[in-house]
Amino acid sequence: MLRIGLGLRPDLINSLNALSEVPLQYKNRKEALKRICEISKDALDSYACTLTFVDIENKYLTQVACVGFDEEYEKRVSGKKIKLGLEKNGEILDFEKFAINDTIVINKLKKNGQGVANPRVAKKYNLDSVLSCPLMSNDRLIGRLNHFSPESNWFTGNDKKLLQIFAHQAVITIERFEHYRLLERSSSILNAISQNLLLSSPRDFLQQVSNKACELLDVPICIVWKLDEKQEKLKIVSATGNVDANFKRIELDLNASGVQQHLKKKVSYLADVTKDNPNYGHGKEAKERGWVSLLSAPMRVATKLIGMLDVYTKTKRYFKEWEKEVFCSFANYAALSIQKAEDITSRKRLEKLNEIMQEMSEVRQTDKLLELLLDRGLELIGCKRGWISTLDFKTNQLNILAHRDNPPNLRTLNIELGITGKTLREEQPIKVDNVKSPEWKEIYEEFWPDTRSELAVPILINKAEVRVGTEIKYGTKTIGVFNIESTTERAFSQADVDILWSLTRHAAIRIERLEFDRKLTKLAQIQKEIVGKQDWDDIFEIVQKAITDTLGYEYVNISLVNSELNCIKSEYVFGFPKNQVEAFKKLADHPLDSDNIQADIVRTRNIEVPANDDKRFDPKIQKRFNRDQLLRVFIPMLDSSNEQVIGTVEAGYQRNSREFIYEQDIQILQGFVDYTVMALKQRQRGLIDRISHEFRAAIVGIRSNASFLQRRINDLETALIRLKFDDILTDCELLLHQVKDLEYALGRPSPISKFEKTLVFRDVIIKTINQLKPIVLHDGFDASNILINPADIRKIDILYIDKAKFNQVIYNLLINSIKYAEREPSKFKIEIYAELTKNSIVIKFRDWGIGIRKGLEKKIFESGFRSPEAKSKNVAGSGLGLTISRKIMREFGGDLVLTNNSKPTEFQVIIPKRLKEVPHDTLP
Amino acid sequence: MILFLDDEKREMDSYAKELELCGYKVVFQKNVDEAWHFFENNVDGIDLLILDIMMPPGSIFKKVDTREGLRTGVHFFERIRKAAPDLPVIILTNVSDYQLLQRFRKEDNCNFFRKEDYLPFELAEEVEKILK
Repeated sequence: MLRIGLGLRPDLINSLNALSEVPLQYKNRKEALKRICEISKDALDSYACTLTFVDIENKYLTQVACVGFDEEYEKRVSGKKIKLGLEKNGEILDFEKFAINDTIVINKLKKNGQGVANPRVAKKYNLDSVLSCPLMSNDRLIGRLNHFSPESNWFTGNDKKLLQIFAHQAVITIERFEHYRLLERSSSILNAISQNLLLSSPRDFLQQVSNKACELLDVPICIVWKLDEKQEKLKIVSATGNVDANFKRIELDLNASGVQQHLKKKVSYLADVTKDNPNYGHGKEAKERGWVSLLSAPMRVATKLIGMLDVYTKTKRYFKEWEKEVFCSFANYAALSIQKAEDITSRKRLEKLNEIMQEMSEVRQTDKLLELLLDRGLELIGCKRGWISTLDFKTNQLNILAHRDNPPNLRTLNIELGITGKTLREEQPIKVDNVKSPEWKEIYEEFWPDTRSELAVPILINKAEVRVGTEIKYGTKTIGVFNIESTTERAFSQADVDILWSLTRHAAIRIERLEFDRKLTKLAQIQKEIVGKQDWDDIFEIVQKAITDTLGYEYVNISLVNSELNCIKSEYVFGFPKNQVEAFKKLADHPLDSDNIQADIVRTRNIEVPANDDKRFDPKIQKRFNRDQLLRVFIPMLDSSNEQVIGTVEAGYQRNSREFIYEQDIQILQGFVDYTVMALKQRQRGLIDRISHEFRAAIVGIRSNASFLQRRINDLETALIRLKFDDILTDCELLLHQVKDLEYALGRPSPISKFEKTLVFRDVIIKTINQLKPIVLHDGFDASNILINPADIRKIDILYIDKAKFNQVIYNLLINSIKYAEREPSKFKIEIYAELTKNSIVIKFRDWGIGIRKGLEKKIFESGFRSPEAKSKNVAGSGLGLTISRKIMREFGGDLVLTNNSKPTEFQVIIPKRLKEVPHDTLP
Repeated sequence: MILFLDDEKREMDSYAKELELCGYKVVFQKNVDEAWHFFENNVDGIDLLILDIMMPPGSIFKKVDTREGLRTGVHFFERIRKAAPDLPVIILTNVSDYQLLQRFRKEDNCNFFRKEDYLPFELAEEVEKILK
């Protein structure tokens, strides 16, 4: 399939690149948001731009950045909270217009503000229309990017599309920025806590934990609960904010089902405790005190519950995933701190742990972080012998990444074996006091002959979000195992287990985040590659590679909707043996109204990880291609400009060491798919613009000539009338050829028809030259300078070929020679030669035009490519001619090649001789 | 005299011929370099400029961002406006970009026509109105 279009605007690419640098370049939030605004304004070349955050729950709008206004205005509105739907000085900002998830254009702002602006401001700053695009984070509206113009009806459909692409990247940029800053804040807060641990009394220390939790998440209320093991109750031991004595008297029964359920979760979030009717959250008490959103995490040391940490907000707030993650880390650290607060040795160790955690937050590569974990973890426990292994999901083995105090010699380990394997399976640390004891000697895998005790701690995330069906659940994400060995028996204490497991869990969260960032960074680079490609085949090849190489899936199937045939068909497949791909694609073709999974995803638009026995899978495909053990996610390819699903992306891997598809990976994949769809659609629209311009030029030519002749025929000389008719015929021929190019560009060329008897020179070459003669004459050239060697006409007079397609090739070559001729008429010359070789007929086209620059020999055959020289000579042009011509010749078994770049530029059309010997039953 | 600048000479020939048959002297130029050269040498004799938008940028706009020729006419117009602020101009183009229409709507002595909306005789009628 050949689908071709024109690229995204280069200024948009620059803008997207500039955006990706913001989180690293800026530390100050205000400056970072203003920079995003500036880049956006430049990308759209608009008059002014504002960035507003919208708090849907509380119906508030906060303007966080603006450009294009004066300093006074900027100072006045920056950070200002405005209640939507509330009248103030005769002005109301309409909640519906800010809450809408669509990109909107609103005109005539000067008249009355139209519910989206203050009319006085609109008049003062000469703003009459706004283009406003939602900023969506995980399907949730977080804000809007607004562009202003002094005139109504200024913004176009293209501006809308451009801003949608930009807004998508802007959200990623804002979230990355906020996440980096939160990590920095978290690091300094943990540091402060660590110092206080040594200096404060246990009671003061608990108060510090509560205060710092508020500071960490910028929340007004925090409550620290501590477990009273004897009474099996959770009691409040410290609180920050206006937490009255009555509330502090609340005790939670550990065995109450609501509390148990709550404690099972890694973190709990309730958007509104007064309405959500939770089993936990003290709805009544919270309501009385005006508290709304709750974020709560159990505080555990290893598996042991120490207490619970709750933070409340006074307005509804949505906590981001990374905020929840950092909060969990904080709760775990607080748990350890509380447990050890009275033990000075433990305090020092805890301080050390905090130091290591801080060091980890500065490392940007996974391998380096694991090495750091190994070295500093050994130091923390006071051992020198240890090793770290990571789980390879594809081979289902553990790869030994690093070791200290020599051996191991092995590079990989079977996950079924040893204490390491047991740790991994049980997802718990294992402490072995004596590896030679009967209990352990059977499974112990020996690396050091003198090892006597061992501590194996998994590096994993306990409650990673995973998708099952269409729902989000929790699953474990395993990264690897940290083993420490000692030459003495009973070398490790329970405290060692607890502290090391805290460290490995912190490392796991950091690794997860680093991998997330790595994938996003890599995908941002790949998105640049996509921007540079024109052909759908090339684009999907890049997409497939990204999904496998960067995102770690082993299998990809991209299916596209064919709305004419009302079906969805597999078009691009990766991860199958090559000899099975075509057979698979043939079977994976389903009516849109069928029960098949692909068709269902198009209808429901759900992102789904179906079970293997899902009835929507085609049993024939499942059986024939051994897909029973495949774990896969289906993502609809949604064109946001018209809300239509253009296809589906199915990506997956074998169910061995991975039991789940993680939600975070799905979110990354979904973002990438959305970007790809937008880029494809942008290209298609660009192509349509260019081609329609060429069509319109020819049609305007025909119509103006016809009208001119109709009105003026009696005033004109016969020669001019003839010339006008020639022009009309030429424009008709141009249109017919353009229609054929368009059919190729849309991926639906007419099939090669039966080969017919074609007089190569008379039927094709001379006829095409005659059709193009009016263009030659109008350009001031002499048509007699198109030369054909008479002997060559006899040499290859007849071919049996698809005449129309062959004609298309000859037309494309000749029109290029004319379009790109030197301006000087005396330099215009085209020569056509024919040559017979052993296996083929070669027709050579030479011209003395502007030529093809060295280095562009391959590029000129890429769809949509136009050299700078070509663009400077002729503005219109889709860059399809040579691509299509080469494709046609290759379909015949021949070729089209460039054999000389300039003076003369020479193309050779190579036709295999077997075409001449086509079976007689195909002859007319 | 009418200066007619369009790189698609063949397609626009009937427009030029119609104007000639209506009695106007038409000088057709198909590239910006020659058109500018002609304009500089004949500035006082030119009564109207008919200008296309999408054209190769030529040497004069080599260093200007014409968006690969898609907006060459805009830059040519701006250059003309500096030299001859009152010269009537007709923008005659296949470009149907609303933003472009808005941009020229602000200009005095300037009309924005899409080629598909005007037959040769209709253009001649508009020219007659403008030059009256």
